[in-house]
Amino acid sequence: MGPMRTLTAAVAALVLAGCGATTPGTSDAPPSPSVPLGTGGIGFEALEATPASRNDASVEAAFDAQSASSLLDDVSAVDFDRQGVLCLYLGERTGRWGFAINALTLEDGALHVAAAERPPRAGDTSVSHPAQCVAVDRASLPVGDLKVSADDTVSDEFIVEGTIAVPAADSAP
Amino acid sequence: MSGIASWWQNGRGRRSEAADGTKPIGILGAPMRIAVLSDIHSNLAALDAVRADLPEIDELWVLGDIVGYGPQPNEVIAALQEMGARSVLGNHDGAAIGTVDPHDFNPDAAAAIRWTASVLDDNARAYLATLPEVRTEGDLTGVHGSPRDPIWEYITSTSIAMANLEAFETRLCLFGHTHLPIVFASQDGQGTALAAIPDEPISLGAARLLLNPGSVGQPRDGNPASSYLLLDTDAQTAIFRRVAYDVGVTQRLMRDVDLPLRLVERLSWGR
Repeated sequence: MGPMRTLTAAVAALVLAGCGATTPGTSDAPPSPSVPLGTGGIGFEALEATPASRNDASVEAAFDAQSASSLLDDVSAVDFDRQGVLCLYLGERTGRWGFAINALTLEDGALHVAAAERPPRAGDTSVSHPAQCVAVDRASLPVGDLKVSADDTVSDEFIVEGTIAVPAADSAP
Repeated sequence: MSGIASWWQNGRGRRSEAADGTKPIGILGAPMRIAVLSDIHSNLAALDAVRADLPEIDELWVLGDIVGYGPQPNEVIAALQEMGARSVLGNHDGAAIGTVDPHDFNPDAAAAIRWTASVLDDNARAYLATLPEVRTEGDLTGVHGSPRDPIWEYITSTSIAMANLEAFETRLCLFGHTHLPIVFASQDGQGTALAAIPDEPISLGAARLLLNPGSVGQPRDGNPASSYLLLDTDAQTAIFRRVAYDVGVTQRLMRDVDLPLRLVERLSWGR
């Protein structure tokens, strides 16, 4: 998949989990809006999460909705009867990077995630694990395999594509 | 004499024996003073400011993304030709001449590349077409992204830097792409990041290093001043420089050709 090639060092995980799923950490970025931007926008709620390092195995697990449940630190803010969780994780970074999901839109049957990175200040060599998770109303997404793409409208530092499985709204979480 | 000129001058003639006994790094065995630029992105005003700041150098290395984003691709390439730059290909360079798929660009970057491709003259197009993805000379390897993926990979962490160590054989690797000046060092299997503090010489020492000079034409570390790197293979030091330039000149030219407003505005903030 072409765009994924660009992400050897960037976005490592994209998850929509219908069950207790993942929180690969968050950043010190400003909170994401709860109102979608642009046409075809989908509402979402930013989730609080704890920054955390993830190894390759845990990132692999995050692509599987069932295994992903082991990664979430706190699922209390999510109503899994009606919501799924979508996370973007940038992997390990040198410097305190910020990261936020700004908008979700459904266009031509595919989900598009607009996100933004904030690079670290000059001279910052600390280690960070920037990521963002949001809760999405499952009823707003088409059931079945859903193409997802994400890009950064500010820095063009990452673009990712993938496919996620959206369960029916009345299926067991 | 300016600070950099003084430091550079003082370094002249110090045919160093490194404190740890390592041999001086040199191209073809000769000690050299090398300026390292990256991510100029068609910003001639920024390049001119850096050029005016340069001390006497023996070589100029340019780590790709010469074009894209900015308003003067042909003029920047002509200037680099005049300066005798040793350049490598970046993702924007390849996209501008059709050898890299711009599908991977976000909408603003893609719009800028379409404009760039439409205005490149024959000389600029031919220049970009000749650029290698990897340049290795003496103890230096130069790439745009990373040694293992010269076009696309972003070296944004120590762990990614360390994962790239086996992909180059020289002692130093110069890279760009992230627009963030930094040094990653590896010694005895341990990796560490060193802050790129302007005008504070960094000893090249015995470690294998990956050095990013930052961006000349679109810095992203919150400082809008152009960033570049000077290597003194004789004194065994690296020094980062920041050079303010007239951002307004570039922004006016970008507006004149209707480049995306977001790309215009970010130059003011260095983001």
